[in-house]
Amino acid sequence: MFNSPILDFSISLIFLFLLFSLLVSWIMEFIASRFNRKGRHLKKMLYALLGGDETINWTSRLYNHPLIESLSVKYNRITSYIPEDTFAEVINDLIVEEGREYTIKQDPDTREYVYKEEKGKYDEDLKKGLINMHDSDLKRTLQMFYDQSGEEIGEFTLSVKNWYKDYMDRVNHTYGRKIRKPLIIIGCTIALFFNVDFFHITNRLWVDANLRESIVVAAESFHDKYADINSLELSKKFFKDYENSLDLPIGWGEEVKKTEVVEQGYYEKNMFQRGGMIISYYLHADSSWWLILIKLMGFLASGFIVAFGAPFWFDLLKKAVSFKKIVKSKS
Amino acid sequence: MNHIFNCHTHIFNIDHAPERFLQGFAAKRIANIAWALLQLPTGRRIAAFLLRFIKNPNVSKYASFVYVGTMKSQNHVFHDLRSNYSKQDRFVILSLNMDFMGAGKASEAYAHQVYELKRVKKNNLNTCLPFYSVDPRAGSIYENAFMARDHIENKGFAGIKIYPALGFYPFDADMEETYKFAVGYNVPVMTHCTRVGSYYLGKITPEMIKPAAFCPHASNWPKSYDIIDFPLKKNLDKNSLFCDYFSHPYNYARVLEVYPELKICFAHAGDDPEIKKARTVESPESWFTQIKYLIETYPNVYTDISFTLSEKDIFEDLYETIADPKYGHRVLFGTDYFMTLMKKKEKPLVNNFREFLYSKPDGDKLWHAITVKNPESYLESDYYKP
Repeated sequence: MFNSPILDFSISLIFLFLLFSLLVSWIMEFIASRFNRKGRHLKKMLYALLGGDETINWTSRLYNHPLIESLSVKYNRITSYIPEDTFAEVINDLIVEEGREYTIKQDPDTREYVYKEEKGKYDEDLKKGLINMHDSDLKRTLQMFYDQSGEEIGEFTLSVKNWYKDYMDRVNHTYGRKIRKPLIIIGCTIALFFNVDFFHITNRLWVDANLRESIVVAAESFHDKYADINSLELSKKFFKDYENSLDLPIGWGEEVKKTEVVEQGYYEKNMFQRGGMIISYYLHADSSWWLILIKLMGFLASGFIVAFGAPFWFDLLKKAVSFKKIVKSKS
Repeated sequence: MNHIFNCHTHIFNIDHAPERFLQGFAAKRIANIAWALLQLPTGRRIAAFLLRFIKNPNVSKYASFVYVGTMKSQNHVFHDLRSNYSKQDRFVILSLNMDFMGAGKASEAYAHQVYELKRVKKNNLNTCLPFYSVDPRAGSIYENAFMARDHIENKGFAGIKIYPALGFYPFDADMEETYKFAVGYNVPVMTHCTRVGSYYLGKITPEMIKPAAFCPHASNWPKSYDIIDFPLKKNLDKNSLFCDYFSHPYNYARVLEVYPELKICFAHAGDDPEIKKARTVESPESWFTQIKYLIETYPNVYTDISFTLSEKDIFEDLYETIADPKYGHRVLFGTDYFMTLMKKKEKPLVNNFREFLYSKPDGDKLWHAITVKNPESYLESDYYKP
């Protein structure tokens, strides 16, 4: 029963939407990196974690630390990723800084300013630094880790590291949620430009067995080639290859044939005139409003489907193809 | 000695400005949109580019602020400033406490601005000469003086900065201990002295209309000069005009009556409209004239030519003042970096004025006086010998 067109239909549909999701994620990633969206989100979340008290801004202190500054790819641009080891090291260093008194005074003889720092043992300065910190939630949390570690630096650092690691899961989760809206907008826009109409695609995949089969073959080879989503290297060529090798039910070509505008010299017109001809066709068709509504709903549905994210479709494809293989081997 | 002193620079950035800071320059809605745009790294550049085309001095200052806002920290801004000068040149870095200007919260409070500034000082021990910004509303009379003293005594700060237009009077009762300390240790004070500029955006309170002062009179103040009559009756609902009451030179005449030895510099010489006003012989209402009167009357009053350097049409007026033996020994060189950036880049700004001065008789001596000799006597205190 499972080795039926339904399974192939599902696999081909999932694969098509995986490709579409990857394209949208790729574009989203490009835009996000241009505006350093990830970096700014990380800083905002760290601000919520570290504060933030009325005096010293610990998030800015963290970002101005040379170890963190060195993580920036470009001068004057904040980093979008801070490894947990670096985070813990910098936090320790900033606490120690709080524990060390210093003076800058002019030497009356040389008339040069002289910097003098009272340096004690690292662990003692850390302890002193925790005491010297202004009262805040951050101080309370760090003090708790310190007490729990039995005042042992290694244990304390590990606690800070784990604290940050757990928090990073939340940062990634909230980032995923934050980009959902832009993903839908980009998804719908691309759907409109390339005619990625959910209803049209499902219809074509259901009725056209050859198309379905060719996509299933491509999906299976994709499944074998990429073990996890991080091994994918997205580029223009990646998408072009799939577009050329498969007769995908997207794009305006088919629509153009259907609307019979080719006979009216469609290909001799410029981009705007072509758009006008298609819109005019729909407006003058017998059931024009109904057709337009269905079309728009198809684009909207595609946009929303994309918002599930490429990892979701990737996992689903993995499961579906594996399931098909099991069924095949048993039969 | 081969270095010069730039006695008036800033290196704080947009993170230190409160969220409604821009409303002092633009209408509320435009300011909000601009602020949102500034939160994007690319947006700042776009805003800075667009603002270049608006010919308004306040907008130009604001555009410079936007430009510097793209820099990550004060350290980056300081390096940008230094790149325009030779290695040994020294800079008075004026911090600014904007926490009480009634424009909301900054993402980095004044305490953080000072923390960062101390790091800059640590890395540039002899070239960075920070001034600690005192605002009487920040703490009690003793706390304010203590904080200033601690930073000057132990952290290498070289003086005190006050900016009354942000919502207080220089004769505020809570300022007295700070002046006492400054006079006692010969510490220099720098005050902003122009009409408008950045100003207090909060509600005008009864204490502002009828303030408490430690120095009720300025008995020597010439009768022909304007005075401020308290309680105030005019401009009570217009912050942009009301802020002139805070900055007026008359207020300082009251302070100097109690502390005549106070070493204080009136920044910007009242600004270029006031300098132009003083061209006529009788110009008692000009702040520039009033500052010159204070220079003549008190032994430690100075003025600087920062920001005005960007206005070529007042170069002659500045020259006349610098060359005048009555005032020339109390004029300091400063640029007001980065407020001038949108008008002219720092290097040409300095070079243009130097070349102008060199074209005059004894120009080299005058240049040396305003960039080395006068700053040395202004900055010299019990804690710092230039």
